[in-house]
Amino acid sequence: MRYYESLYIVNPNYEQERLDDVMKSVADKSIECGFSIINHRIWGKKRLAYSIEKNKYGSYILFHFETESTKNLDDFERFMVLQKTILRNQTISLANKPEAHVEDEPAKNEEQKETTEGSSVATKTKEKLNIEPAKNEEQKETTEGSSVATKTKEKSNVESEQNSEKEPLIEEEKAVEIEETLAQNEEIEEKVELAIEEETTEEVQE
Amino acid sequence: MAFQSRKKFCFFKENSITEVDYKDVKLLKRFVTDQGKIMPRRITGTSAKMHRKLVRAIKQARNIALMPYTNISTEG
Repeated sequence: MRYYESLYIVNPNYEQERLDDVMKSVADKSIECGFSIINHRIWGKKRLAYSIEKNKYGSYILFHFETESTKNLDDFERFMVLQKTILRNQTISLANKPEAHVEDEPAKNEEQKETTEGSSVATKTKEKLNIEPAKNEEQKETTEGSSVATKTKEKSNVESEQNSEKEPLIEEEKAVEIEETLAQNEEIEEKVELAIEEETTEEVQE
Repeated sequence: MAFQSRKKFCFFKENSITEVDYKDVKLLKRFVTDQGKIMPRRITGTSAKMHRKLVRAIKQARNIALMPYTNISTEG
């Protein structure tokens, strides 16, 4: 078996439905060519290092496939080049079989880790309590109260981290917008300053 | 010696990396000048074997617009 990786760029202004259509057409063609698909997923919308057909951004789609023969590779390449919806494509051969991409798994693992850590901390506090049973009951109560407080804190931390995982995508888009607005503001400020200077000079002349 | 230079080392050998992925732009940018030119081996100190792989990865990244061919006329 030979393994290949194809990365292609689609117009960033397309909606999800149109992207799905493009992906479906590519998948259909690859099946027609006799390839078996391993991965086919959207890699993300990225800024292009140079503009392609006057587009500054592009939606990257990653496509892993395997095939026995190299017969239909030229056919597939020709199909990809002829598609008007695909701005640029590149197919390279891989030495090893690529791992099948599974979505949402890493996030779940992180959550599990956090929960286990929290439980371990809780058990430690309990052990401490067991070690020092001779002390007064009042102290026990206070320590238990504090452990509850720490648990709630941990929960809040977990929640905040979950939120932070979702945010970066939105933040990137926001950051681009903010940069643009900042640039515009700077231009406006410069204009205003120039205008003020002109006024002052006129006043001085008068 | 007044002009004793730092000893060069292969980045990939130090970090035990055997394959270079063209999608890892963060790594590739270390071996490219501000203009976007590939830095020579005599400056970066990479081994000949890894430099060949690196150059190939950078060229693939350029083709798919992940890295610039040149940084001078990007806006135009």
